[in-house]
Amino acid sequence: MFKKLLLVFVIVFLVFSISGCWDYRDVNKVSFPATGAYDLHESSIAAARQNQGEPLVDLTVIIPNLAQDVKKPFRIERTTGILIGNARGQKPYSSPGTYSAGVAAVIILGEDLARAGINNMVEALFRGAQIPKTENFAVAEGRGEDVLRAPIKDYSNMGEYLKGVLKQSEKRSFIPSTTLYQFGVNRAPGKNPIMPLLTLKNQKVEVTGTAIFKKDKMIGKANLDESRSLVMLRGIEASGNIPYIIKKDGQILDKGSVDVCCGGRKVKMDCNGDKFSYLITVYLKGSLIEHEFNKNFIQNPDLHKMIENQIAADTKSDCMKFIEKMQQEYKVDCIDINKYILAKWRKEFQNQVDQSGFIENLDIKVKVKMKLKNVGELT
Amino acid sequence: MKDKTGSMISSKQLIFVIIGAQFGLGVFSLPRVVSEYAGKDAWIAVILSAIIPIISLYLIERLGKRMPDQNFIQMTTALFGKYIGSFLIILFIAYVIAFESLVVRIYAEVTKLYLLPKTPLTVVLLMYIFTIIYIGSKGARVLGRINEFMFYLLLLSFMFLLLPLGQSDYTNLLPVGESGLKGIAQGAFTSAYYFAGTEILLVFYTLVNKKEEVMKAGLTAIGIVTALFCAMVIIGELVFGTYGLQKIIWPGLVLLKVAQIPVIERLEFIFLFVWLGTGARPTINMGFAASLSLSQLLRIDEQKYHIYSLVFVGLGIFILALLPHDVLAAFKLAEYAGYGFFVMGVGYPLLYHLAAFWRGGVRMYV
Repeated sequence: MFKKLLLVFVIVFLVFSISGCWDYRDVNKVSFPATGAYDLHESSIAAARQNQGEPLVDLTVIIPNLAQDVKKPFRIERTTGILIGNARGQKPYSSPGTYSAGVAAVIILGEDLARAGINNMVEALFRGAQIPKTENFAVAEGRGEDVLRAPIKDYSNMGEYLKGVLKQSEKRSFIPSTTLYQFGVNRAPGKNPIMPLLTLKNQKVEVTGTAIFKKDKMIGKANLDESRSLVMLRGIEASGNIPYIIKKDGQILDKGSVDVCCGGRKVKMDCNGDKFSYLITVYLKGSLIEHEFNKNFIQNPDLHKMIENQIAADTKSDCMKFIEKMQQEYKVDCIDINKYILAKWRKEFQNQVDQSGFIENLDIKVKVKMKLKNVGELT
Repeated sequence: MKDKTGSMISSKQLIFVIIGAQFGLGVFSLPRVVSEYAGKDAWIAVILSAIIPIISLYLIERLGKRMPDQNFIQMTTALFGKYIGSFLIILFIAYVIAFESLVVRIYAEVTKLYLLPKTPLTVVLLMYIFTIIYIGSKGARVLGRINEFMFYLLLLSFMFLLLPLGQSDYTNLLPVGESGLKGIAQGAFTSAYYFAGTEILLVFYTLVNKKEEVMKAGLTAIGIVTALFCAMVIIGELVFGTYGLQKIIWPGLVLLKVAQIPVIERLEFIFLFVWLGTGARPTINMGFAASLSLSQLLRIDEQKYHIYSLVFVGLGIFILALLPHDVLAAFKLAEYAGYGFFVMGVGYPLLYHLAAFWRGGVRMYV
């Protein structure tokens, strides 16, 4: 009898106490942000540039309007706080409904904020259990808020457009796709994050390169060509179109473009006393997309090899230029090679790899292996 | 032994019961806790730490062989007398209640954090306690079957953890041996807590129908748990690195939040739904062991009144689970409770062997 009573009690309790009672939320009354932008508040920019005072930050979000019969498909809200969580906490004073931070797919960082350091800003994202660690990050030249407010025609809102551009962008171009998780692990000793760089040009938002970080602070920019070298040297598996021009005795023999897939890298490290030298081998493979119409592969048997050699040589030259810029201008390991030193001598070098002078003194050489896999349907 | 609570289990089911007692939500924090001491060599520490449960298993199995027809209660009173024996049994029951209250509390905290943030802690706790009591009331055989079923679910859900490997970096595991003997030993000592649950064999030994297979079953269980622990630590290191691991309370769960899979946006929720059952097994198994010991100590009719001792144990677990003021306090207490495993899993069997030797010497061997 006791067992039956207990069972009835348990069933009644479970039915009345499971999540519906406390965690029930009407979806129509929840604000789901599609995208967020983090910026320094206008009043804090000057002080932050001089590392003075505690800056205020602006959180701008695009919230799609879920209710029917609304005039605008989305609304843009901005709140300010000492940190992002605090800015988020100001929403109830100006916005109806519950705010659910866990669904934003993209976060745009204003350049001033990125340069001031973002560790404290993204802490709320790492701490929030409801927030996935796959949110994509990008830096905007200027304010992130301006990017969100830019007019958008062919998408329901800017968030959808940015999601399409930034999610797994390396599969379509040589632009790194950086998630919250990747930003987190790339702050470890010997590592540094990189992020796509967005620019608002003529009322249109475009990816124009890569933002280079030293731990949590942005320290430089790479243009699109440099970004391609950066992605290849970093060993990111990416795909994109590369043009080539083959010249002989000042004459153009052939020109065209190849869809290239970077299949990663192989790094060989040598240590001679205190001097480290690297040989980075970049592996490329691709398909010919187009070239001079009158050039025939059957009549020109060497052409296949010449295209491979030309792309390999161009890529190597670009990579060496980027390495030079990295060592002379950025002065941080943005191609993620210090980890090979740490893999052998972690204790000895953990505190040195991020010091100034370390990356500058490495001897880094590049080798590119290109394989043209197919030339399409034409001879 | 045909009574309701003491239905016999097969040696195969014993494997699942031991795995169930050892393998709970603790595995999600294991990579952080062990790598704090052993760094990149955490996986080595985990393998080494399996020595402790193996010692525990060996001692308990030998004890069972010494006195094969006596259950834990009979054995204890025979060796230590009524008063000291009762004290030791009560201490065992208290240990199980205290230890499992922390397991349930951490379990409830995970549920609240990820799934039911606004549901009161007491409600979440009560849901688990009722489950523990209900399953316990069905007897050892049902317990064995549930453990078996949940083990396969566990293996299936463990496959999810392979998904983030696309983000892994093998240099995170190098150089091997960097932490030195001291670091690895400290890591192994800490990791050994996570094998708590082997001591369930003190109670379950008499419930196994083929006693000669207990050792083999126990070793199989510990082997499987070690392999799963080791896999979790290696995946955690590969994906987060030692530096990243130290910043996350449950790296095992956050692993599921870094994988990008088409269609399934929030993998961790699916995983947690599976784990709501799987993760509760240590408390179900140990709670059953404690309530059975209590019934036998009080010499009550196990068929009729075992439910009362289950309710008593469940109530004890519930009350103690409310005491830590937050999850970090629960973790701190769990660290102390881990020492209890050394006492119950290794200290108790050793003490019993000594007492057996003192009283009957080798004559008590079968």
